[in-house]
Amino acid sequence: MNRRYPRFYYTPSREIVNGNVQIDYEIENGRITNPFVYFGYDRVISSADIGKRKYVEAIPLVSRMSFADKHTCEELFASSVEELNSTEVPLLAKHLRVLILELSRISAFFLNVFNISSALKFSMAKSWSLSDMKRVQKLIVEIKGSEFYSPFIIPGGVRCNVLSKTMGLVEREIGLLESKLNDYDSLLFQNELFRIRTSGVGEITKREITEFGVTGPSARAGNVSFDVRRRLPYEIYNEIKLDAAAYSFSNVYDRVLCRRNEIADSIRIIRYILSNIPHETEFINREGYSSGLLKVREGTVFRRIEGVNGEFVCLMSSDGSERPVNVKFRSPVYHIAGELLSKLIGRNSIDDIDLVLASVFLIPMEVNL
Amino acid sequence: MTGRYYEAGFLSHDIKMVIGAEADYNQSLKKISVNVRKESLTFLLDFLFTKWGFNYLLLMQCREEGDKYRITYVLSSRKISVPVIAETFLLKSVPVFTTVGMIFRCAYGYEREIYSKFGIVFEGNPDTVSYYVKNPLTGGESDE
Amino acid sequence: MIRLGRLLETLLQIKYVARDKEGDTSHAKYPQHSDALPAVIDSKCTSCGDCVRICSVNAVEEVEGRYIISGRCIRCMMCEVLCPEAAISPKKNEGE
Repeated sequence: MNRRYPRFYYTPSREIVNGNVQIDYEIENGRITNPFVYFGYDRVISSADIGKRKYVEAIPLVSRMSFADKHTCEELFASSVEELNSTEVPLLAKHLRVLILELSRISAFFLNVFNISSALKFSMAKSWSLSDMKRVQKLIVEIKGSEFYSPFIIPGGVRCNVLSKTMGLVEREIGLLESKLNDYDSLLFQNELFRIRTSGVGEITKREITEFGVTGPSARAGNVSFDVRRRLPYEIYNEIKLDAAAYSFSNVYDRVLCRRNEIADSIRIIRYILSNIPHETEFINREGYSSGLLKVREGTVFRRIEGVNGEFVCLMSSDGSERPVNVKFRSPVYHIAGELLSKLIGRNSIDDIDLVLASVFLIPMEVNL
Repeated sequence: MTGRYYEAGFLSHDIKMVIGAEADYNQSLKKISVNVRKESLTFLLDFLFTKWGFNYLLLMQCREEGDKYRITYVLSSRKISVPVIAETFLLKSVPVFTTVGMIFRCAYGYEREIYSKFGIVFEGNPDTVSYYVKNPLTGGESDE
Repeated sequence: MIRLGRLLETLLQIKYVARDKEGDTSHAKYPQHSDALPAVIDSKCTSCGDCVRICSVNAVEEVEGRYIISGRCIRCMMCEVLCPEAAISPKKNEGE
């Protein structure tokens, strides 16, 4: 069989996709045809590695499964174990968990803005978003009192309590970030150039969203409103009211705007936590831990959490011992990264590949969890 | 969407009437588990898709268990908060199954992954074609 | 000098990096690059061996009846949380 057209290979920079991705495609009459996306071997830890170890040994490894969704993975693992053991988590720990989850959501928003700005070569937005992302990550490290990759959300509660001076720091930083959102609005969303460049590009239809099971901001921007925090509330999300805005099409502009509006929600949730945090000292329930091991009761549990990109799920089976029988995580990036991504790339021109890849917030290390 | 327990009860009853398998509704862990024979699986998934609104395939996994493969499908619906976990077994000696990609489009990706790890061929999925069908043994060099 | 640094920090919102007397800069870098390891406090330790079982990278070794945390440690601090006697401290200097 003779090929009519040569096959091109394109590797977007790591500033645009947060990992190793290679796209190969053909060009016919200036349009991309037959694209195929290869995800590089960025994966360090997978579900199979977690399943081979004991529960207590797997706790630090779960944090290293993804760099953007690490707290979501920790929360999934911890809550699955707690559900099987019917462990009661202290109220303080629930508040601290939600605080860390929302802070990581804010950090992911700035990373997404960094990706989009890199794709569009908007240097100002790129440096602002990178510094703000580092700022939020330093705040997370300050709350944890330890490394960024050390686990904070562990089965039974959280690893340590948070000092009151750290809470004061969180309040100051959140106030600063909220004022910066206005600057981002004037730099990006009210910028006519940004709007012209991103509207009408990288559109995902509502039918494709439901067909491929896309969730998160990419789906909400297409008016398919499904948020696990609202529909199946966990931790303290049943006490919090989340806003639901309406968007027209899931194009690049709407996806970024959706994330920006959800950051306003996250800031409100963090303020709620700071004002309602219980005055207790117990931050972990050590039930289930004995002699340095964690035994989990027999059963199978399926947990769903709202991650940075959408619905993150975990299936865990246990036989009553200190090792799991089966653990499987699935990231929301998986549903976008397959056939849908190839379709998106094929539908848009070569100039827009970077923009489309940045807007769906690909995290290649999460694809084969 | 509230977790109304009676809906889960009706669903378990429906599953039993349709394929004759017991659907176990676990109220504390909030899930419905069904062990299905491989011949009835696509019929069950289609029934859940059309009649009960289980439009989303959240997870599909394959594990080795002795001389069999256990394939797990986790489905969710926007109407009912309880997910359905359907499991079926395949013998290792006959690693062939039907694709569910015509019901859930995203299943093609999962099946491709399972094919690359375990070699299970999903009939109907163009990416999981057996090696010998893709590369038929011919007498001489193939014509290009 | 320190006051000027703090003033700059508030005006420009940049972190002022300080060195203390021993020149220990572990708090000036990201903590994952810090040189401080957790350490076992011998006076509180009852040699139950839980930390050895908890550690996912086998960084806790028993040497002549004492437990020592080696350089293999990834600073996950699970041993500190789950030690029943709270005999593990986060920084090496405090343990000695």
